Amino acid sequence: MKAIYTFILLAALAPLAVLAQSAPAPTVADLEAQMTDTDVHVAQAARMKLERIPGAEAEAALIRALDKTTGNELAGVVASLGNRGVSSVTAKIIPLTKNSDSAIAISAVLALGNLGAVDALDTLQGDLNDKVLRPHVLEAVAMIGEKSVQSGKLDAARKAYGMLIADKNDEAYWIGVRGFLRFDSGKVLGDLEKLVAGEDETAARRVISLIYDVNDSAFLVKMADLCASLPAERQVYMLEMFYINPNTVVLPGVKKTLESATEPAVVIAGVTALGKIGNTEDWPTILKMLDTDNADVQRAAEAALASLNVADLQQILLNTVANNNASVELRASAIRLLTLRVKDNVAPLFETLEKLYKSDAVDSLRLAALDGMTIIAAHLENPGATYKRMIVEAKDVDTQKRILSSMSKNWATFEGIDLAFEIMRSMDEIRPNAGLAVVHIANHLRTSDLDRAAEILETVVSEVKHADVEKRGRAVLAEINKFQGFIQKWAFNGPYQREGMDGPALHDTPFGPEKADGTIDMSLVMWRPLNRGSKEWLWDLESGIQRLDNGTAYVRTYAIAPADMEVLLYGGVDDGMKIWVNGEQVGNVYTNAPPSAGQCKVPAKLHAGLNEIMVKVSDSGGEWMFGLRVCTPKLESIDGLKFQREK
Amino acid sequence: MASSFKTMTRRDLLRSSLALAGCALIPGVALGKDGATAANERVTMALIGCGSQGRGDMWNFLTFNDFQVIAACDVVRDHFLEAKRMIDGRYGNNDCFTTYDYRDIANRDDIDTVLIGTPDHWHENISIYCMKHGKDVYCEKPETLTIMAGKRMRAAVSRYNRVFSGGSQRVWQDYNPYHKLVRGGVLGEVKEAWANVGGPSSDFDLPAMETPEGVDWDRWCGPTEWHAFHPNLINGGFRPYRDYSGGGTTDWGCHAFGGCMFALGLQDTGPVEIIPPGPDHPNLTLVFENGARIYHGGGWDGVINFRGTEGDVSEKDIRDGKYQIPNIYIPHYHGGAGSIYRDFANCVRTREKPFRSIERAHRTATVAHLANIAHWLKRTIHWDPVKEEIIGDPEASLWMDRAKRAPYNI
Repeated sequence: MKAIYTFILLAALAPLAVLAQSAPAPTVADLEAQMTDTDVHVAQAARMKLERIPGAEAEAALIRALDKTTGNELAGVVASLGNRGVSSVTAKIIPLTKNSDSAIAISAVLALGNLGAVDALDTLQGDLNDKVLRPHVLEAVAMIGEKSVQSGKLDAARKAYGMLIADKNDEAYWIGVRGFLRFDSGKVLGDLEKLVAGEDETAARRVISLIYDVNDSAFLVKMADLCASLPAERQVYMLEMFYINPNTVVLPGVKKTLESATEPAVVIAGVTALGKIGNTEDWPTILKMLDTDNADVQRAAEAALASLNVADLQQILLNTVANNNASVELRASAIRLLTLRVKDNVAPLFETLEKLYKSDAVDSLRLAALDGMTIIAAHLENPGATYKRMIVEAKDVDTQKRILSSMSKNWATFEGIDLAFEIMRSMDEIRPNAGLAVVHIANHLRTSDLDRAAEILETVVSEVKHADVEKRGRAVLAEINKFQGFIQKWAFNGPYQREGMDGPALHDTPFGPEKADGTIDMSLVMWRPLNRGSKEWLWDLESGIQRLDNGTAYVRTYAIAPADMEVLLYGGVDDGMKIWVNGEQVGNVYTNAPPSAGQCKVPAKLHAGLNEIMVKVSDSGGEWMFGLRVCTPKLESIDGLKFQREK
Repeated sequence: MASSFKTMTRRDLLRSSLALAGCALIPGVALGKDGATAANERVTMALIGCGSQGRGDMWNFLTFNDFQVIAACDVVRDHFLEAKRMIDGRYGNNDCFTTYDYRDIANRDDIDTVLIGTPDHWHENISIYCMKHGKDVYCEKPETLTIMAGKRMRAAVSRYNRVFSGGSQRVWQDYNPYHKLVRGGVLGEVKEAWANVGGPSSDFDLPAMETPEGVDWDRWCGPTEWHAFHPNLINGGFRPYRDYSGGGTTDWGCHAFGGCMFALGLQDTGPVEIIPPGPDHPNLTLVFENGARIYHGGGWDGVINFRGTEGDVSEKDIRDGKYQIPNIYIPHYHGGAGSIYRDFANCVRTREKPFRSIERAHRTATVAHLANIAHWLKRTIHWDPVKEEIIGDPEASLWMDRAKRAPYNI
């Protein structure tokens, strides 16, 4: 037993030792002595440490301190005993609620709450009339009620909450109601039923807000049953609460509300709640809600239906699409749902939609089918041939444009670019639209192949010669240029880590490459090529050098400038970088944040010929990355500027 | 019950008359003919913690015609004077009340809401104190310094039925496309996410310096152990130190973990296992009961990344339009085209739960705190997300709470 206690005590003191750095952990006796130190900071720190040490020894020290401390130190001791739940001191704490020092009196009131001190209720009732103490007394009585419920002392809980309900004050009443709902909802259910349907909007909303974290079934069922008869605004609020605190007992009430709902906001809140609480067999109720021309309701119903995980949803939806007796809105919504998660059976799905598109259905339904086809086509075995056939067979230019636009979003591949170029060169009427499709896809693909995307954009801009294509193409090229020119040739030295030093400390501590002042033999400072870790504009040093937290390293490159020039060193880093140009420090940033281009903007001067650029990159934990570009102050590339890894 | 409602407050009257102003069925706020809300119908607000973050948040509320900021509180005089300059400039008067002590704000009946922009170690106490005194609270992230602080704040929100919004604007605004992609099924089944944020805080090690005039230094230290003054601390440089913050893990972590959890539908639960970096796990890994994993760092671009059975997504992918973002409905956001500031503002009137409710803010911060505990102790932590307890590790459990210095324990 003693061994176990010793283990817990040591475990408790360990964080204290960490907090106190290398100092030995103080003993309980040390801390008890310090609690009466004349230096109030020492006294309070000792008491705070004792509070967190488990076991009888620390507890006894705190109890003894009740008689040895005064003022704020006594207030602290009272709080510590309350926080630790030392109920044996209740009788000693009760009189302190009358202390003339408000810090002590309030600490005593709150400690009695923490202790769940039922014996103190009568005293606390008297303190309710004290203006300063009152808010704290309400809290303490509520805590006594909560702790009594937790420990099964329901009569004590009734006394505490009954005291609050009887208090002629709105605030106290609601604290009491909430308390009764935890264990004896019958006491307040009748009142709440009247309030939720009554004229007092504030009171009604306050009742509904209880659903958020009350799980009493009788209360929830009663509220759900009443929901359909409430004003629409209260219905929305209640349905959202049912979503937040999902409980299947409210399902009948939610469905009843949905059946009679006419306001879109009610339907949205209702289907959303049903999607979370409902069962798979509830899909017909939600499917019915798709039958509307209100787009927001449709979206909510679609999301709810998807979240029900109905096994044969695809077949149900296909049947709906094919059902000529169903409304246009319902069938169009079913098409959108079918295309939301395209996975299996894509060929039959495409055929069904194509059949509908070519039928004599109304235009809006045929267009919905066409949009579905353009999404599904990307998942067929030969998307290129399908898109081409669709465009060639399209009955008018507007339809061709629609297909092209959708293709650029749903089939953003280099093959898609090839097809768009082919159409651009062979179909004059939609030439600009094909050009725009190329731009859109190239923009999408620049993350995987920057150079190829840039080349494609230059080609399409020069070939199409159309204002929109030129404008959008140039905008994407400008974006690409921001990331071009980041230095790719680096050597590295390090990494450096030191026990007890974090990233910022290491960042400000000079290591080998920074000591070119003759204090060390620089020939011993070894530089190795940085060959791994290039990610577009960034270098991931955890990949290129070593995985670490709290470390630093140096990278170096040589810039060959065509002439003397003023440049901007532009980059980003996770977490900090210092930059030297030709031995002179020109920049220092410590972002302690993910890297983004532009975190570092440092003006510098290069002279014609060889220039050494050295960067210290430091890490505080997490990612360790940097990227650096040399450009003009206007962020333009510099013609003729080259880089090499070695001198 | 109804007969007991004898003490209608100013705020209750506001709620009664304007309860519907921001609700889903009414598109706009019921404004006067010139677009302004009458002064006595505006929700009043005080800024507590007037550093750059607090003032930045406040600027959003200054733009709302139905809100009026009327007080500024900070332990640094220059901070509250700068806030006062902004506030008075906005309203064209010299009325903004200033104070060093947040209790002067909490005890005023004419202030409906508080915006808390203090360092993390003050969030719990000020939030609970203000809620106890009838205020609704918008609190900057990280909303908590410890896991237990979050539990206490959640209990207070529930006990007093307050509107509380956490302050991670990015979870909604920046990461919305990710939520729609993941929840809309575009990436297939998604079980992996990356939160690419900084690491944990560590020991306090700043040298002592003389406290300048105009700084209530004892109050700045507040409920934490007292340390001598250092200027870094009052200028945003408190995050590296464990006494005041969980470091990058909780700072940007509350954005990133929050975004990952919301997209994966894990916003109301927590991990079951937290594995620190090691030979087999280069990044700290949070494992959830459904098998989902969130990694602390190790992603490939931007602050959060997701990988599903049918694709992965990064910030660059969103920027480049790699995916068509599905237009799905995401419930529980009441800010319209605005922001989580507007979301909070509307909820103050309608009494709905804001998008960053205390539950979600606390669950997110808990993940960040658990990550820090695993980082600090360098061992796997087992967590019960229902009971919200660390399993079988007394030493780790001690990190769930901190003792507080009196009289700032109240």
